[in-house]
Amino acid sequence: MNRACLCLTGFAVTLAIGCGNRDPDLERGFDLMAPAALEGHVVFVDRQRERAHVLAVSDSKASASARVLRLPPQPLQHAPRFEHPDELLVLCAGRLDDGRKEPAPAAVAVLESGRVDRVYEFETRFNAMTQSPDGKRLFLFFDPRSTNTVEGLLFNPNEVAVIDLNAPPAAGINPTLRTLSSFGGVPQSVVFSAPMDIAGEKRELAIVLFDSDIAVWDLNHIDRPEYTIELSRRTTGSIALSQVLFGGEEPNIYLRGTASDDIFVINLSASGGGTENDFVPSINQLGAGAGPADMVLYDEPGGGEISGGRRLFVVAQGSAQGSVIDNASSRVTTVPLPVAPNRILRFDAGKLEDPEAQQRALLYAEGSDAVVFVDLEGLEDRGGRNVELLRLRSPYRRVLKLSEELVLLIHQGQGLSLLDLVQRTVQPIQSTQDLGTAVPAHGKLWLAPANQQRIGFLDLQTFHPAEIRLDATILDAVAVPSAERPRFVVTHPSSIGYFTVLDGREPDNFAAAYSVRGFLVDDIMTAGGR
Amino acid sequence: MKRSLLSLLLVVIPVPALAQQPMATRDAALDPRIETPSAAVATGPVTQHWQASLNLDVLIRKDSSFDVLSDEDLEPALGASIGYAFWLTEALSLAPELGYAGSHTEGGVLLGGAIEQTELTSYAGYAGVSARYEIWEVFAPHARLAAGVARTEFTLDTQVDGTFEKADWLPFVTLGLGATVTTPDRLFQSRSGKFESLSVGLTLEGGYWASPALTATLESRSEGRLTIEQPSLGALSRSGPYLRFALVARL
Repeated sequence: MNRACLCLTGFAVTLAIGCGNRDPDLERGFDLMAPAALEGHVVFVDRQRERAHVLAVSDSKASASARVLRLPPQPLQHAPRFEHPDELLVLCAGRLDDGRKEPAPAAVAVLESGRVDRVYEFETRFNAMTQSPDGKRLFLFFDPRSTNTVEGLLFNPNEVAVIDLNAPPAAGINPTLRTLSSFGGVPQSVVFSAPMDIAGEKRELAIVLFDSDIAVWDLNHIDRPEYTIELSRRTTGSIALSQVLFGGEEPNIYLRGTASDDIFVINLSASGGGTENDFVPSINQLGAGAGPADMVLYDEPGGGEISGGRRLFVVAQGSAQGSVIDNASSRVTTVPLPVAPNRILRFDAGKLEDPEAQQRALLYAEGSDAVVFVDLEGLEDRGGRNVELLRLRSPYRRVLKLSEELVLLIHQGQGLSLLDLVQRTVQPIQSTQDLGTAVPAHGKLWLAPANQQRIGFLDLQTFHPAEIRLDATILDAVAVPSAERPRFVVTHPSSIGYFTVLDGREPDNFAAAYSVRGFLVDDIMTAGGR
Repeated sequence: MKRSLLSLLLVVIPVPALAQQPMATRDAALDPRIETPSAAVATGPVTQHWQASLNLDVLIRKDSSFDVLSDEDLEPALGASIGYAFWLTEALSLAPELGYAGSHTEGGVLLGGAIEQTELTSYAGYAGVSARYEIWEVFAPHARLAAGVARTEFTLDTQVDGTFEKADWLPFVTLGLGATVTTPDRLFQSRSGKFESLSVGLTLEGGYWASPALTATLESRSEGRLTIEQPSLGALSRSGPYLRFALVARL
């Protein structure tokens, strides 16, 4: 009896000692977003585990070791910071009080290669962000196309925020939150202006587009109230604002909507007082034919009977003519076109018979087999003589500007063309693959079709195509900037993380290429699920 | 029937008592079924040189690295050992021993299914020495020191990427203190005096198992052209306390 007791006691003690709990992080799976790039690093943001795995890919020695950074709860999306390749922005929704974990505010985390450099926290659970072109500011709002993803009982779709990314977080100051006044609409998108000379001061604006209204927010004086300008009353219904252009030196904002025949010009002039802002907006409407589909601004140098000044060139949906609008006089000059384009790509380049770089435009329509070159300077005077048609071998579905002298046309089905904007010639490149995912980077055009094992690249100097076969099928790809060793990273299907690193300059140099497999379980024994 | 009853009586009733019965008229010396007083067995202390045991070693893995293999902190190992006491006094004995212990642990699904299973298999052989001090006839505490090497194999099955394996030889040292409760001497002694020194018992021992960690790097069989960089999974601690439960036979 005593022996049995002794034995049972021993077992009981052992079981009591051995009753451990596994780290819950070891139970949770991965949910990786598309890969992102930092200077010399590739970043994999894991929504499920709220971590970022950062791996150096441009070092002289290959490594499979990942630095794991803890993110604020619920990462929603990420984007490299414009003009700052060493920073990645991650918008996180935060955590509501679910009775299990501590609630946490929403946040934007700024990642650097080795750390989370700063976290801007705010109470509103925004689901979209847009950067200014210089990467200085970040605008947060509720994207009406995905508000079903917003958690919580209530949210105000007109609440927005601006973060000064050059400044550290400061409660109540950075980010600056605001509820935009509106006429019933909700923000659809936002556009940042370049510095504009308004009321004697160079300042930057955020233009928030509602369906038929806009809000003008002076970012130089962010504490001042915004102007919300109603445009719809001047038309018969929704405008569906879709395009904004800024006048540059002149304090004008040009607006186009897909459901309006008018171009709206908002002039911002010095205020006579009586407002908190030192400028006031005024609206002008310009007729642009039926259904303007795209517009560009250019500076007419003038000559002959044509006065110099700012011009707006507009193409309309289904119309074989373009319109040049002089904002100063509201005069409209129509230019006959050989086809009916609906998109304009502005570029400054010379041409064979006139090597001097001038303001020109490429007109196109996705789905068409033709493009039209337009020399914008003197267009009102010379009309159709400034227009040149170029037929292609097959219809294209996407146009990508690679430089001021080179445009990529991705054809429907298979193949692509490189359009030399100076020579006005086309270099066809055949392919057996769907080329919808072409990525220009490191002086090459990279083609990494998903579910294929081959990756193609086209030298944009010599137009020489080449390809290599990888060891696994392609899932996604990202170009990694680096001054010394630019890379192109291709991910593969895997449950523990698998990608291949190619030399950005010499992709077919296998001595410089390598794969990394298992980075998601890096150090899993020592660090647990992290 | 009568013969069966007689046999039972022979077992139950001491032989000298039976000899005093007036009914015992048969010549016991001529009947091999009847043990005579001249075959009386020896009494007193016995000498036990050999010891064999079947062991259940429960290794207690409190280190978080073991979470990859189990949601409990126990790694059971079954084994056997045999020892011979080459030096004996009335109470103290020193016995070298040889032993073997094998364990197999399987972890379930990890990381939401990214890892379908982990396995750790260990085959350990060791040699050691134990010092036993017999306090009472049925109770003897002991100390045991052993050293050996374990073939340790770690396997990781993934959902998509196949199976990764890592195997290594890991030396180890164990030091334990315990006690054994045995049957009294001569319990199994036969009438002919055989098995006089046999005793069986239970051992409970606690101690520490010290070993270098198993450092596992994913090693896959690359069939492609590119070199594959694979991260370290980290260090799987192989040290920790243990409890030994053993069935012991001494002879």
